[in-house]
Amino acid sequence: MRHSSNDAIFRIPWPAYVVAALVAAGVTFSVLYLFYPVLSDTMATRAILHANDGRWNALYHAAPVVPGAEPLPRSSPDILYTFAPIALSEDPLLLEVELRDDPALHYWILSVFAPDLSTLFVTDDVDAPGKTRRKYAFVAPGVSRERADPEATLVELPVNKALLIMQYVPASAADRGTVDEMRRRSRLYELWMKL
Amino acid sequence: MNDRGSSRVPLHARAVLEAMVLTVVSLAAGVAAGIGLFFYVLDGSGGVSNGAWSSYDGESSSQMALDALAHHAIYEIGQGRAWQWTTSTDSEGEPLDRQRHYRIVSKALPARFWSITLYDMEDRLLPNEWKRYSVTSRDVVTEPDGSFVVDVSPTILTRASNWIASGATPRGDVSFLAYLRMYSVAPGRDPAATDLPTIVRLPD
Repeated sequence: MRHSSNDAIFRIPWPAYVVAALVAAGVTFSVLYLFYPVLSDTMATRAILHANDGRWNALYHAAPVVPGAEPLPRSSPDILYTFAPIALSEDPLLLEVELRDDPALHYWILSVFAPDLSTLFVTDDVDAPGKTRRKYAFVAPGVSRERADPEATLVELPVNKALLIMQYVPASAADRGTVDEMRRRSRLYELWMKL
Repeated sequence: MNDRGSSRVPLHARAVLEAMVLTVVSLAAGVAAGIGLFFYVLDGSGGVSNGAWSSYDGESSSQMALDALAHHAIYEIGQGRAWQWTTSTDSEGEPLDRQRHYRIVSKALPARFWSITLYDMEDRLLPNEWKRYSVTSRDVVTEPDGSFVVDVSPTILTRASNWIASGATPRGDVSFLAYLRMYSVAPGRDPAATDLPTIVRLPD
């Protein structure tokens, strides 16, 4: 059967379909590449907030990690986790942690991550061995240093929203209770609440 | 009859329809390929490798690699100070299998605290009746020079102090991940040049 010249107008050569497919693939890849960080930030923050009943600037002491009750993917059964999704305003956010120089506590580390997983701040027992009580003042970009508690270690964060994680390693399973008590004495509050 | 039926549709209309269908199909194929390529690149991007282990250290990893971790809400990297290594293969490159017996052999690890924990491919602990999910520097039995040997097997071994249970086979999925945490790593260490444990499969 022969096609008329009118039909030929509507017949697209096959390389054009290949080009269209390649362009679609490229555009799709580029869009995902550009917007995925936003999407993943949202998902990660949502996961943490879900664990913390949707509360910002409040400490959440996760139960000891056992199969089927992991607070986050790849949680460690040897570590007690305390989380806080933090949202900084014009007031410094103060964290007071009690890290008794106690043989029950084998190791601790405090980290603050941006939602995109960049590490903003990290400290552990190697930085200040022996001290029992530590105070950190987290401040948002542009907040005056004078507003922070002078006793606190000032931590300037380049973002307004972040995730704070304290990890406590008890010296043994039998020491979990002691360490759990210790971490529950930690406090997180905006400075204006204290004045 | 077909010829008679099709002859009712003008030929140019058929050509248009054909072109539209092919266009939609090629665009759909392109979008699917773009999505597939993105996640392929995402899963394989960035990180540091050392033997069978790979790591995201927060400094040298690409933002895309970090995004991949953020997507899974895995928030355990710490700049330089804490290394997190993961592998789903033994040192020969063979996938880790819960039904097999492995031996983890290591020199002393240069960290204030370390642990090796096993997870399934969805990042969950491997349940087992002995509650042996990990070994740590806190309780592993080492040689005087700090080196150690840890066994991984589905059933209990005599040397229980240095043993992790790979658990019962669940729903046919036998693969698993080994995850090495190293906290307060000695400063100045190069992650790619540090001796990490080897994972050797033992004969059945």
